[in-house]
This record gives sequence, structure tokens and C-alpha cells, in this order.
Amino acid sequence: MSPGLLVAALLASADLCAPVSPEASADPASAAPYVEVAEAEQAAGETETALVAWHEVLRGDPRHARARAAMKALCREKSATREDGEDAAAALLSGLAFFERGEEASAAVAFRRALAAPELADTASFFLGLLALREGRADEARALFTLAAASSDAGLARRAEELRTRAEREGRVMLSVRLGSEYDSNVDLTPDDTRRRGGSSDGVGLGFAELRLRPWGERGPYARLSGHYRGHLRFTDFDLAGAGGTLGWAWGGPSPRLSAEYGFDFLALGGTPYLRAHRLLVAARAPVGPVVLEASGAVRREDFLDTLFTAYSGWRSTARLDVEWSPTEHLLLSAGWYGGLARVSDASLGFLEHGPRAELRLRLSPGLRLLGEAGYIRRGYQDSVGWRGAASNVPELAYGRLVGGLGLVWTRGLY
Amino acid sequence: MKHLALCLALLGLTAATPSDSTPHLLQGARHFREGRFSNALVEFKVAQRLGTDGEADWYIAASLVKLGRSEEALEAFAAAQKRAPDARDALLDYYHALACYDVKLYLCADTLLDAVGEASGPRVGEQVLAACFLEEAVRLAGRREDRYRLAEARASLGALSELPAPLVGGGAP
Repeated sequence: MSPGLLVAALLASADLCAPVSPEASADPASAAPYVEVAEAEQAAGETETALVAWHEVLRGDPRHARARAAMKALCREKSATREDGEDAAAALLSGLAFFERGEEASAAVAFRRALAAPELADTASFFLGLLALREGRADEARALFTLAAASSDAGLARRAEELRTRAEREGRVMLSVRLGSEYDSNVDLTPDDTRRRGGSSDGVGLGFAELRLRPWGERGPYARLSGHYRGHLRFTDFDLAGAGGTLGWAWGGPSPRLSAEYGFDFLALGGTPYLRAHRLLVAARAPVGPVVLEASGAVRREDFLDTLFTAYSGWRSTARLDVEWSPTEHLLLSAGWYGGLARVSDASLGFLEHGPRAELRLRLSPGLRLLGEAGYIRRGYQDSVGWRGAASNVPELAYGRLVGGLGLVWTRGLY
Repeated sequence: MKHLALCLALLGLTAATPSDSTPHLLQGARHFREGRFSNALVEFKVAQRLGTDGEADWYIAASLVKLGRSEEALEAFAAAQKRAPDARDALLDYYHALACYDVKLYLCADTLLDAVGEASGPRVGEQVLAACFLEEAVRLAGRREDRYRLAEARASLGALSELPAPLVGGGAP
């Protein structure tokens, strides 16, 4: 049941205090057992059932003085309670309006008032859970979604259950660990016609860990610390280990959202220092009709620490524009364009690359997602004269590579 | 629960009750079916006062559960168990388990659920009765943090070819 219908149903509940229609043939004797029940219920403080019983007494015996007096008193009491219930229903409606307009503080106040009505508590808990989740209060969100998941409204209960699972993965402090393995058909990017004997394919083991801090939830400052390792079975010279840190600030919620961040990355190749990089990134995300547009631009200063590669040191700029569309609740499709420009110490090694990309994310169950991504990039190398050619790669550097892998990701909100 | 009146009839509600109380039991079952649990409770209590050999006690207890008066429901279940042990049924045990859960008597709830789970097969063969039964299981499991048997109950409910009509007054307790 939608919140609006729920409120309407609450406001339209039957009124026991309306005038009583007596039975066609009044029978005071038949009213006697109802009197006993009415008195017992009233003594126990059960207004509703007492009213029902007194109502039945008056149907059988319209002149029953005690029943009339009790009805009058109980209806006065019920009227005050009903006004409270109507207040709660109105609070839920105004909370929904505030929520739609993005006025989250006002929405939270209204939803808390709606919690007072037991009939509305599940819906109000659900929306308070959403607000808590946005603000990074994952523990509170979990508790609220647990309440909403017990709703008799199956749709609301199912959605609350899904969000409860999500809340367990979020919070102000989050730890994410990913383990996996890959097959790489061309580890050292050997040109196709100069393959080394035995090929350069290898098995790869992957490990990644990241700690995320969001003291104010989805908006405000955030920080990430991460480390990763990619180890080969045969070509250990290509083992790659890295660590990095990011500091940033986000404005808005999940969408629209604007964020800016600074990051530092360090990489070691084959056990020796390889690369040190500083990066700046600005990203924006906004709903436009049925889709969400996401754009980002980044610039990165790369310094290679091995003298063999110092000619590659320099600036790399990248830009991305993506469109996201969710045709169903479980499916997300995105498509976009990527572009990158490298200006390095040796001008002939600089390049411009760009191309389309597409991605599919299918949620199979709350903890399991299927991801698919495809892209095509054209790269043109630069020399002192100008672009060598934009339509094809340098033939001597052409190579083929296929990588496929499987991984497991575990994420948990720690606080 | 929309089909409870039918369930109650299937369970032999009026089999051996004094004639004066029978109309009240039937009226109570009708109210229960339509989600008017306060009216159902009043009718069952009137029937009890007119004499039903303890049978009405079970339905009073079930109505109290639906009204969220779980402690009173537990007392009513205890009284019903003493006065009419033969009228006990799997569906009523689910209401009993709900009352136990509400007052945090988890062992009591689990024991009842386990016993019901073991004995339910042949007794809930009817589709509608099975649906009543499973709906209560889903509602009970949904209230628990560990979602005890929730998936099992939902899967069984989804597998039924005849599902009950949408709940009326199913919000309480």
C-alpha cells in the first residue's frame, strides 16, 4: 500500500461513535453478556473493544443508561486520540513532501511525528532509514529498516529488507576487501609477431583493501586509504604493489552530487619503486529526465622512479562523460565516452586517446552483482612534428591482450 | 487474515458448542475474516460467557494477538490449553508463537514453530489453509531480527497455486 493510500485508509477508519442503529426487535436480555464484556474491557483500559461492546448493548437495548453514559465518555476520549492520529497522518504526508523537495531536516522531524501512529510507523521508519543512510548513520538506518521490514505491506517490507542489507555495508567508516584471480594472455604486452617462446600468458592473483571514512555521511569531507597487490605465477618481475590515499569533499546527495578530491598514489613494480603520482579530480552527477548524467575530469602528475622510465614522467589528463539508465530496479546500463591526453618528458611518447565504453550491472540478489564492461580506445602518439596518425596505433607496438577474471568483494560498515 | 473464518470453519469451530453461543462464534469469525479484530474479540468473549466448552478461549487468544495484547493472549492460550486441549491447531499455535515472540519468550516461540513445522504437512494440505498458515509464518519471521525461517515461509507461500486475497486489517499486531 502506498503511503498516501495508507494515510487515507487511516483517516477513513470506521467511527464507532456514530449514532447507533438499534436492532429491529430490541432484546435487553441479549444485551446482558455484552454489558459484562464492555465493563471488563473498559476496566482494562481497552477503549476500542469497550466501545464495540457498548455499541452492541445499545443495539439490543437503546435505553440502556450505563451504555449511553459510557459511550459518551469513551467517545470524548477517543476523539482526542483520533486527533493525534490525524496529526500523525498529516505529518507523514508533509514528511513525504519535504523528502521529495530534498528538505531532509524538515522531513526527518515530520517522519518522527508520524512514528507516533502505529499504523504509520513502518512507512515513517522506512523514510527515516533512508535519511539516516544518506547521512552515514548506518547503525540507525539498519534498525529503522528492520522495523520497516516487518511491515504487512509486502512491497515496503521487501524494499526495506534490501536497504537493510545495503546499510550493513555502509557507514561513516567502511572496510572493503576484494580477492580474485585472472588469466592474462599477454603480461608484458609483447607485440604479436615477436612473442617470446612459451608465450607471455600467466595466472594472476589479486588483492585489494580499502578503508573509507565519511564523517558526515554522503556529503561533506571524505577520505580513502587503499592498498593493492597483483602477483604473477611466472612473470614475477611484473608483480605490482600499490598504496594510495584520497582526501575529498562532496556536495549534495547521491544525485545530484558534486565532488572534488586530491589523491596520492605509489606503485612498486617487481619489488622496486616504480611510480609516484599526485592527482586532482572533479566529478558531477545529476538526474536528467529518466537518466543520470555523470561527468568527471582529472589531472595527474606522474613521476617514474626508475631511470629506465623517466622519459614517461609528465602530466596525464583524463575526462569522462557517462549516461546511466535503470530500465528495471535490478538492472543498470551506462554508456559514455573517455578521453585522455599525456604530455610527458619525451614529447614523442605523449599521446591522445579516446573512445566509447558501455557497462552493465545486474543485481542477482542483495549480495551478488554481475558486471560487464566493454570499451574501445584509439590512441595517437605525438612527436616533435605533430601527430603521427590518429587512425591507427604505431604498428611496432601493436599487441593483443585478453584478460578475464573472477573476484569476491566483501564490504562492511564498521561504524 | 481474510480466510480465517474459513480456516476456523475448517478447524471444526462449531462442532460441539452450545447453540446460544454458536451465532456469536460465527459472527466473531466473520469479523476476524474482515479484519475487525475488536469486534471479533467481543463476540468471542460473549460466546465464552454463554458457554463453549473452552473452544472460544482459543479464538479470544488469537484475537488478542491480532490486537497486540500479547500478554493477555498468553494467559488466554494457557486457559484454552487447560479447558479445551483438543481444539488446539497448527494455525492457533502460530498465533501462540506470535504472542510468545512479542513478549520475548523466544524459546516458547521456537518450540511452537518447530512442533508446527513437524506436524503441519498433512494438516495444512488445503491450499487456503496452508496460505493462512504461511502468512502467519512470514509475519512472525519478519518481526525477528534473525528472520527465522522467513525465506522458507515466503518460498512455500510463493509456491502455492491459490494465494489468499490481499490482507484486510493485517496491520495489527
